[in-house]
Amino acid sequence: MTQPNRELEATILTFVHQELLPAEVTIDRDDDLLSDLLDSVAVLRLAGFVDETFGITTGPRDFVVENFQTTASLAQYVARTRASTR
Amino acid sequence: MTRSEQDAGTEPVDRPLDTGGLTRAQLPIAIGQQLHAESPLYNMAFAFVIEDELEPERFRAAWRQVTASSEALQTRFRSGPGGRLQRFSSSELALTVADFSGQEDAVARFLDWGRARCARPLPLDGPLVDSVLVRLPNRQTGWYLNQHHLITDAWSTRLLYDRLAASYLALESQPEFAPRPVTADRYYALAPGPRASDRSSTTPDRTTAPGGLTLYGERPSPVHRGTASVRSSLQLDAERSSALRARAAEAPFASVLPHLSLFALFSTLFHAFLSQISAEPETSFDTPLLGRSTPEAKDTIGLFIEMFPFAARVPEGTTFRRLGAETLARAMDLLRSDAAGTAPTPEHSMSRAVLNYLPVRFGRFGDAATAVTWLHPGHADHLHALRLQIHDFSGSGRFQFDFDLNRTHLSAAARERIPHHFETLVEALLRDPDQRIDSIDLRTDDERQQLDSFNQSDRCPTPERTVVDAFFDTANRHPTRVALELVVDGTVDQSVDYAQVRDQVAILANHLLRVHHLQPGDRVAVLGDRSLESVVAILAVLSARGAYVPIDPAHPEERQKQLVEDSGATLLLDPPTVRQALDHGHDSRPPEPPSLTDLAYLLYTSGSTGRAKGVLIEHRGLADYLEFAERTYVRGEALRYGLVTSLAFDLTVTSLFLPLITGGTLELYPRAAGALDEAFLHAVERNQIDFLKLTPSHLSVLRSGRFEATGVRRLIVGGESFSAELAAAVAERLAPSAEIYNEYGPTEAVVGCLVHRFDPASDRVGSVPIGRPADHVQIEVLNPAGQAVPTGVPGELWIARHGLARGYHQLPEETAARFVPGPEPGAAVRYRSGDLVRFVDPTKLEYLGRTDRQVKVAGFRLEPGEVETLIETFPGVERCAVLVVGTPGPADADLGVPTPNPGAGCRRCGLPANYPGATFDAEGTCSLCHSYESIREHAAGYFRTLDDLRSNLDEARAQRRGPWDCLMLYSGGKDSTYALCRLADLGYSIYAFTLDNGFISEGAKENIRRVTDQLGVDVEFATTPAMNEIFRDSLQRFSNVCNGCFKTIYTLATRRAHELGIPAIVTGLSRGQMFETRLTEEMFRHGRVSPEEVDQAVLASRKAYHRTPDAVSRTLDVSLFATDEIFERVRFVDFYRYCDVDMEELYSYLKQRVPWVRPEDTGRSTNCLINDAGIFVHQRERGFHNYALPYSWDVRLGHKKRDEALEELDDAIDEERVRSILQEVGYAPQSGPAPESLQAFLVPTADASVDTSALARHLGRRLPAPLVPAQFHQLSDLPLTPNGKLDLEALRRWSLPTARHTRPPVEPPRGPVEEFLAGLWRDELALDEVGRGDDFFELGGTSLTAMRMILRLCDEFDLDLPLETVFAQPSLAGLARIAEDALLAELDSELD
Repeated sequence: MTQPNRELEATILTFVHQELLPAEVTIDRDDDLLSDLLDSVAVLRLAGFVDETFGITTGPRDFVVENFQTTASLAQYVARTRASTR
Repeated sequence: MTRSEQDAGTEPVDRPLDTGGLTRAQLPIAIGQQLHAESPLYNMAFAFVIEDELEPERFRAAWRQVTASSEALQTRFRSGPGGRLQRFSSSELALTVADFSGQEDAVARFLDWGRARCARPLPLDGPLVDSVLVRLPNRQTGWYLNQHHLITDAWSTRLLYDRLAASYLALESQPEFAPRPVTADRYYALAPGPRASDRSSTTPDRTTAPGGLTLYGERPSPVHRGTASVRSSLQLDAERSSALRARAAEAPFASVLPHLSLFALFSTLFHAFLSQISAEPETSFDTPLLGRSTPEAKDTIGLFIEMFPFAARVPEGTTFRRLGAETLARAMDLLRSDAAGTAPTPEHSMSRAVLNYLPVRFGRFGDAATAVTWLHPGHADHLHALRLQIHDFSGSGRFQFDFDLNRTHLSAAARERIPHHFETLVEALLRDPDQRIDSIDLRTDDERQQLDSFNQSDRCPTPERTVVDAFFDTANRHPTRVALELVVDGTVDQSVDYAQVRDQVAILANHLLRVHHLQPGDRVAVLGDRSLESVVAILAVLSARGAYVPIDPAHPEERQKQLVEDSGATLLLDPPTVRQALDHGHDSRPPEPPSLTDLAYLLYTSGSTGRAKGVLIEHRGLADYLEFAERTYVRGEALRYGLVTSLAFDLTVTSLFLPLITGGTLELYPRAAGALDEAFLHAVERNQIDFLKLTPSHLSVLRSGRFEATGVRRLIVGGESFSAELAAAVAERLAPSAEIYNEYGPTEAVVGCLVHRFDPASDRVGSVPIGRPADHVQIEVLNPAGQAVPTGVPGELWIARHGLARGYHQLPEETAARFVPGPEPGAAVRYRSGDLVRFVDPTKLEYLGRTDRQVKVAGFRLEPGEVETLIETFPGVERCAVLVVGTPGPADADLGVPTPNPGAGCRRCGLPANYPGATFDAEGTCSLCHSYESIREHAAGYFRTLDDLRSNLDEARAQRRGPWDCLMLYSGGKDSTYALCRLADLGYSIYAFTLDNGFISEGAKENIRRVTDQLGVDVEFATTPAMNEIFRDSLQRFSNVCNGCFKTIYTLATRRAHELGIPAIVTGLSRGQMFETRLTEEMFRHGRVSPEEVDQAVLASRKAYHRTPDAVSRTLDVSLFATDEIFERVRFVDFYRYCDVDMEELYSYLKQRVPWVRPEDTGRSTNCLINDAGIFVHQRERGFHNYALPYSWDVRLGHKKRDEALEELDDAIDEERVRSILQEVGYAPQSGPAPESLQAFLVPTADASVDTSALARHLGRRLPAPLVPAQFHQLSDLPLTPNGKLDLEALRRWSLPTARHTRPPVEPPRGPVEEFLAGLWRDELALDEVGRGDDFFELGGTSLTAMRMILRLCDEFDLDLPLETVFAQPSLAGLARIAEDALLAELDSELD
């Protein structure tokens, strides 16, 4: 259940580093994305990115802290959602 | 740095920026500013109070550094070519210093000063930033910053503030610190340019457009809307602010982003608020999106935000939580697309409100705390009535709600209540997010008290005696006074005094009791016209403790029978039975009188189940109403009354009983002959009465000129919505002391329960208010949840009154649904009226319409269900919907009982009854038939013989410059085919010319090829790519396609004839069309105009026609028509002027002469497929068939029989096909004000089509005529709303006809000649208003109307002007001047 989704995490981390964070900042899978790292525009772009890349639809019920707190939790949310829609 | 400081005093030097224009975010702001050049509406001003004593010079240096690095801040604009704004830049933005340090209350003074300062506009060509450092006492510093919205938004302002603070701080330790390169902010390179769709600068009318919510029922005039605005602020305390934050963190608002959650929460509140103050279930506001999706944009000063509409559904019964889930989803979509930089093009918004949630926080200035005040410049954009801005700029933890309220959109009363109503909603959300939004009472304490005093209607006691007691008392007091007079043909036919009436009533009552053993409460049907017998019968039934059931003898017999049966009447009284009983009875002692709780009458209104509903009224209700009416209208006087309306109409109760209990005299006018009951006209013409009660429909007939003045002193109007404009017109014809009352009251609440005395000074627009409650009446205005609505908001009227109806006769379910006890135990029963009303102000109500679909047409209350049920029993109909479309108001044709067959028009020619300007005599013959009759012989002189044709064409032939003698306009239809053949028979060399307009049927084309082939005639199929544009223009101007097509043919054919040297163009214009377009009665009267003069005028008209700008002149080469030469080279010959042939002869000739076959694919026309589309639009927009007039001429001239013509006009138009054609052409049928009419929408059973004429006849036999739909539409299916209900709005849009396009205001005519001319034009062109600058032809004048108008002008002033005068001077003022000159010349010559 809580098996890490390394591949998903890597894809998400790449996007976060390349598109959302300043060049000098590097983060890890357990860093809190919401407290300081990403502003609201960046979080919204991140939601758009996972929807588009992984073919899911993040509605208001999914757009919650538990899912978006860290790269790891986001990857789990993506994996869960993909599994349930397949 | 020091160098630049020395430059500080010099004028900044302008340098042009790159030539690029405005960004797309700037465009709407620039347009708004240009519309309101002198208004400071876009000033974004802030006052910062910084808790530190700042050094002015260091602050100035920081200011320079920061502003120098921003492209946006330095922008200025100048008006460039074409009024377009061009950008410039100013090199230096000044910072000035003001000193408030010596002042008491310095901070407050600073803020006041700032408010005044920001109310001055920042001219676009000057610096768009005004920055002032303000010295304050107590170690504080003020900073006033005002920026034009064109170059900034809230985010940008915070950037500026942050950079300034950083710069100021850095300059302390490193004076040379330069935080950013000078050209860091390239706003114009970064912000997107305008979209292709952003060009429109039009400002649609948001108050009346669909989707433009009407707030508090207030509809501001679109003309007087400005930018003046008032800010009203609601500062939420810390406790409620944090409670709101907590709510936002819960379901359904919870999300990753607190700002998104709060935005969704505020949106939910605002949608809820808008729906409650507009009484609409669908709401929309505009809200800005950040527009900064990239890191660069986030770090750039300038304007990026754009407004997007945000819509929601707030259905009946929804809760905050349910609405919140919807708004969060929508908010998330909006913000995600904004963050991705893919926000869609803002839709065309009609929103009248803005929600601006500003999650911007200004931090500390260095170490110093800062308090921020957003200053309101006293103006805001003119499009929105209401802007709600929510912010906590200083980070105090408390939300501030700033309501910027447009003073021209919202009344002072509404502006005052808005923050209170919103606060109530905020508290409701905090208390219980699961409560129904529509059950929240938004009203303030003041509003509740106002309702209480409105309902204080118990100042006098309730009645103690019945109408029977009152009548006998009156009769005993004035036995010899005349009580009733029957007026026949303008004179009194019978007259009876009170003693006689009293005795007859008693005799008949005793007869009912003794012979028929009438028991209290027994119903007795009274069938009869307004007559002495009917009045006596009604009083006798009451006197015998029975209840009368009036039956109108004018209603269809089946309906009469049904009502009598339903009422359970034990007896039916008509005049013969009354007379008989009176002849045989003797006992004139009044029997035992009824009690106040006895049933008095049973009156039928239309019912939703397909059955009429009988309303049961007791004596106490009747007596209570009559006593109120006596106090209000009669006040002790003995007046003379007129009885002119049906006894089965509850409105009539007033005029029937009031005279007989007050010692007045009642004149009875029997139903007048003919379809329309014109008894009221007879009463007005005789002019003896003081008191008259009518419907607005009656009045609108009176207004149309049938009476000049009347002695009526008390005019009571009821039964329908009463327009202020009609009231004013009527008031003009009454004595100044006369009183006009608008009385409102459903039958169920006894005749009248609200009344308003018309005041011409204050009741000027819309409908006359229905005023305040009658005695012993209490009302409530409730929304569908049963919650009282705030003042001004529309709601349903609920009525409690003394003696309210018992209910509906034998309809317990309907009674329970409509008669509802109040919520408190023992509370009075209230009648749920189904009428939509609103408070105009706390002292009077206004009637708005029906809440359900129940409607009134011409005073008839109607539940469409009744009609639908009947229609659905007709063969071939599967389903059906009936509704009223158009605006309520006078529609003369609908008044009373119109002709039972809606298709019927002139008895002779079939011209429809609603043809503009046509009048009908008593026998139903139209004015055109009469007019033709009188000139038939003279007109015959206009027509010629085939010999004349030959000599005309032979004369032309001599001038030919090629092989052809004439060009024949050949459509391929039967008429032009016949003409072509005859020309060929005569031996002319013909060039046939056909316009292929893209819709010519294949069948017609084959005919053309076959016929020309057989005749050996050359044929050209001309085309133009501009056809759709021409059709569109023609539909816009004339509501048909033919006019555009005709002009195209004439234009192209004339050009071809010119090129080929053809000297004559022959047309197939029918004689009917010649009458329709150029021959008029006035011409021939006394033989005053010769055919040659007509020809001259036609030629002049032809020249003007080809020189009129329209789609043809735009898209085709019309240079040929610029000079008169072409009209000398090419003559026009109308074949049928020289040849008279009837249809039968024509068809039989064609049959043997050529292989012409009637095409089967064209509908009405014999050649053209788009024709049906033209007919459809014409019927929709003008209300009648565009072939009605020419066909009536065919009948008049004996070429067709009336029934044939009518049958041909009864088109079965395939509406879906027509709509696809219209879509192809690019034309949407116009919608706008149109007279109210009943329309039926049918879904036929599979593979069937419904014979709608037969259906109309079927209904005519079973329903009162106004309930027979005026039009029937056949659809494949009925449209439904998402909830699965019938989509009435869609049907309405589908069917809405328009009477006239609205026009901008015009300059009124001056002087007698102009005024007379204006009257003529209004008459000829069927317009309401004509100005002195108007052009006759632009208003839709034709050559015919032009000539007729000139002749009538000549008649009036005894002048002799050439017919073609108007073509030279088509303006009203110009034409009037010519007439005046001619008059003067004549006067001069007489003096000589």
